[in-house]
Amino acid sequence: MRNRVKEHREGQGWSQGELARRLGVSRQTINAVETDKYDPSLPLALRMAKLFAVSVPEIFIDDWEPEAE
Amino acid sequence: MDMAIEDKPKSKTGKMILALGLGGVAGFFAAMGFMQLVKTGALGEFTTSQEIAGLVGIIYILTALAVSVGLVSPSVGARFLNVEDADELREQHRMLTWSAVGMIALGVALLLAAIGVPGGPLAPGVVLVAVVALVGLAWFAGSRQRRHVDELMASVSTEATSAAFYLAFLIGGGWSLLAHLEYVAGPAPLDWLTLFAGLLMVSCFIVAGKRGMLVQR
Repeated sequence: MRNRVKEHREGQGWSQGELARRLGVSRQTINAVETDKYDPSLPLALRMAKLFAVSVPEIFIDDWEPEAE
Repeated sequence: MDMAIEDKPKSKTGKMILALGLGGVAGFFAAMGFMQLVKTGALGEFTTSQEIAGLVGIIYILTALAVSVGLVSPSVGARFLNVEDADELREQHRMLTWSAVGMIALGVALLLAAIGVPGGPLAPGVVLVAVVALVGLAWFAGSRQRRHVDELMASVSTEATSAAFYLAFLIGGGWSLLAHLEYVAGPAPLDWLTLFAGLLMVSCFIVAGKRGMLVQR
């Protein structure tokens, strides 16, 4: 799943290490999320949204659309 | 003294060359030393299964020792381990400590299992007790390690264990099937231990690679 974690992180002027520290995860997790190698759990996605003061869909982009009925 | 060494390596390529070089040299000498020891006959008559089990055990021990260097001196460890800088090793100190303990325990257990045959330097009963104790230690270290991992590490661990099972089923099962049909000689009991331990490590690398964790940082 594509995401804008890097954009939001850099917008805050934080390094990967700083974001990892604020979220209580490893730098590798932040790196894996930013490079689309890992989709974070819902609690972590919610924490990211709270930290960046945006909604989850503003960070994680899912192209799925429901079928028209 | 540790602080005198620059925390961040100069280049990714240089770091990769250093890591591969150190790993290659350490692995070569450890394997050669082990095979020389086997040739002296001090460990009794060795079969191919025992040699491979011993070598896999040595890989576990060497990997753990490389991590241990990073734990003792993060600045030195950051020069060849795949971390961004020394602070990353400091941040993961507890998790990596338990990981190293577990790997050493598994590696030594496999080495002991390899030499634990009737007529070998250690009585089978002694080897059995030691291997059970070491596997218990590895299990304990793993449970302690889990307290310090985050969700990516937990996910990698689960996926690697699952992948190791399927690989063992595929390779060990395929080998057993061929042996059952009398195309090849069947796996020795020790081969199963080696397969599980070896494929667990291989699976960890596969899953870590899939998650982008092997990209040089």
